[in-house]
Amino acid sequence: MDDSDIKAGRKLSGATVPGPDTLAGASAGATGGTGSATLAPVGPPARATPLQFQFRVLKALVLRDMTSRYSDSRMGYLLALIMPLIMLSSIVVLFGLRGRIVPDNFSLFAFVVTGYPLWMAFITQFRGTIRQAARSNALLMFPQITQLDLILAGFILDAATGTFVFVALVIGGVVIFKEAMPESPLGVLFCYWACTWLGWSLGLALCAVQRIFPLFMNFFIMVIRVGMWVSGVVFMADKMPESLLVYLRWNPILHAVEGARESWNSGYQSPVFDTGYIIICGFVLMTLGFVFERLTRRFVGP
Amino acid sequence: MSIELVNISKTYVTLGKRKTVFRNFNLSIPKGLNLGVIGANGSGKSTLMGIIAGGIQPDNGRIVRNMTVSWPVGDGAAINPGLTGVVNCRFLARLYGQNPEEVVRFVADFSELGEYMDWPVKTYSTGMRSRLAFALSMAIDFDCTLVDEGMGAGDQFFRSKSERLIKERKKRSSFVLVTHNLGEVQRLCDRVLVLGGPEPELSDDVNGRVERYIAEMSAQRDGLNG
Repeated sequence: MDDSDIKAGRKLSGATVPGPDTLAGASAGATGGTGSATLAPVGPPARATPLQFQFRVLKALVLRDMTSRYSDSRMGYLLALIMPLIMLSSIVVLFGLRGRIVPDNFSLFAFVVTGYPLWMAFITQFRGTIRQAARSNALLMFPQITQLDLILAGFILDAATGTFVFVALVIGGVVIFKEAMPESPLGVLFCYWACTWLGWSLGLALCAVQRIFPLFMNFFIMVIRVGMWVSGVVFMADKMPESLLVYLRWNPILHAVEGARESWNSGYQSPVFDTGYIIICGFVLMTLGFVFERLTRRFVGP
Repeated sequence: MSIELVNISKTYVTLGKRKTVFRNFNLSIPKGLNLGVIGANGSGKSTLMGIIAGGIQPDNGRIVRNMTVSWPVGDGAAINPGLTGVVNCRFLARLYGQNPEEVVRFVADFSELGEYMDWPVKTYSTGMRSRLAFALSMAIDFDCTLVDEGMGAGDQFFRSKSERLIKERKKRSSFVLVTHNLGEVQRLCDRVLVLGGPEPELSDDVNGRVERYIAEMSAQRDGLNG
């Protein structure tokens, strides 16, 4: 292959283009810069170790996601924090008005706050991950951004917002309603985070299904809402019939909700709570999720 | 330093029909080469840009990048219309490890968007949006910049300013320019790649190949018009 081939307009398939230094008349028309300071770029992309690089991508995505979700205004973010507080307060008031009988040693507030927010953390992460995993996103045109980065950024933002709201809710209840502090605040928080993690991991594990059969997953997302009734949110495990509990024990969210109640009030001994089971479920789902996400990534593009 | 595309194949399936855009395609873009890519709509120009950038994965083959590559300027990927110009700049700056405020200053200065930088991009005109996208990509000093129809933005003054900037940059970095403006290819590129034929065709006789391309297109159009 020589210059005459190139000048004649050779076929490229299977060939390699030589460098510009071999070309006569290269850069024809280049007259040089204006010398204006405006034309000087800020600098080349900064070098980074793989870990720094990953951190940089996630930080950029989380901050962007935060601004785009909350319309670049503090009021938007404030509303995102206030809305769940209003919803949970409404549930407490509604249960109170209906004269709902709560289990021994539990106030209405403690019962609601150790159930519904945990379920919401699970379902929010599950739904968010499923949707993000299948979404075609123009950001994927950037070589350093993968679909998994977008999923991780969504997880970080949702988990941070959710944790902040949950802590604010607990502190608000203690201060405003003169509720007793949970006996093990870290235990309650661990169970809250477990629900967040399980929701994210299940979403990741099912992202392959969402990418290939999106209609089925839309149906599944609706069905999984029923899970609230078998996760200890409305009925505590010690009030459930043993014949039913045999099957419900497989539900890790029930373990987490029961764990939160046990941590809130050590007088309550859950018949199902098992920390090890929660961790195993989370790791298995997360590992499957990473594998399935990698295998089906090609179904989603920019 | 170069970007190497080795035995790349890419096929799309649309409405049950397969269209092969590249088959065992090889390309080397050494640092300093300015490559123009021309071809009819749907010939694979943007796919090629996506493959070089890394956003589109080929079905087969591999890509070796030994230099930094920009995103394809002009396809709008970098810009979130719901965010302001400033927030979009900060995002890109963080992504590439640059000082966000310096990037904002460069973009505001070069794009001349003024107070519109604080407005959501969705309120911009098409020209303003393209100016933002172009200025944003120029704020970071890539070894290879991919420009996908990104230079046709704005008025004549902005276009000539953009062209001046590219001429300045191309002395030390590479450009891959996808455009329907054949004059730009003739003025700015060292080589031209023509897509849409039976095989991709590369030539370093830029003027001659572009003129031949115009003649081919005219003949094709005449044929269609009977």
